Amino acid sequence: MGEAARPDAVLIPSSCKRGSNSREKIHSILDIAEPALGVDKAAGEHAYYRSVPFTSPDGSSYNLATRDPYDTFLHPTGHPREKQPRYRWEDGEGGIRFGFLIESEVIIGQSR
Amino acid sequence: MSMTNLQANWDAVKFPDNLTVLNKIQDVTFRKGGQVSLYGADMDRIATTGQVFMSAPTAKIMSGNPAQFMGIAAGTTGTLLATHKDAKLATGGDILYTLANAIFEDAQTNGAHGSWGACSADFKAISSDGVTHPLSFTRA
Repeated sequence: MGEAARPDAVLIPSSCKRGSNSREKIHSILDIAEPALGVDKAAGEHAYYRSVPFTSPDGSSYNLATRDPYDTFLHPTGHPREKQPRYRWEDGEGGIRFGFLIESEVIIGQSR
Repeated sequence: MSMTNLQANWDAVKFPDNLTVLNKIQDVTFRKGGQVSLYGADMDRIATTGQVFMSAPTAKIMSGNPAQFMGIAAGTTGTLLATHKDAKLATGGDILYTLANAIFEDAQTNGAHGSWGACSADFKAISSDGVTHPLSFTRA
């Protein structure tokens, strides 16, 4: 996957978690998130994931994975587009969704 | 060396930024903070629905260095970082916790006669957008 094609975020259903304890579950999500985000570990990149309170079609909650631990699902409080979507989402296999930042599109839409 | 699937000891515990290292760390606790609201009505004697409407993430650190915590002002906000090491220091076995928007709430220090002094620090965390959990996980 080329650099330009890397998604900015990935939504992974909690049903993808494997294992019986938090450590195994963390690794099982990162096993999906790191390649999906195109993480370059040699360059010091990591995939960070945290929960977001949305339900996938199979009824499980989602985990948001990004290469930056400070990335948010929505625009943050205080932003001109506060609490509005930051990403354009594309469906992948197994309920995984790929997110691409839409900030420039949002700004265009805002001016209309 | 393969991962042991066991964690032991904490390293690189930092607050409020990536440059400020906290030392003499004895214990670290992260709580995701889910709070279940129960609902019952009519003839119910036990709640029939439970839902997490709000989460209140928290963290607690215990250290043998009281001065470093007692010197932090309540309300100081930043990122709390902590690495839970693989038990045998295997590559890829460390779990890294990042608590964004962590707010230092309180410090307590104690030291019984003839014992090591100790201190604990309590943190709460908020979400930047109201939906993204401030506690994220990764591995090293």
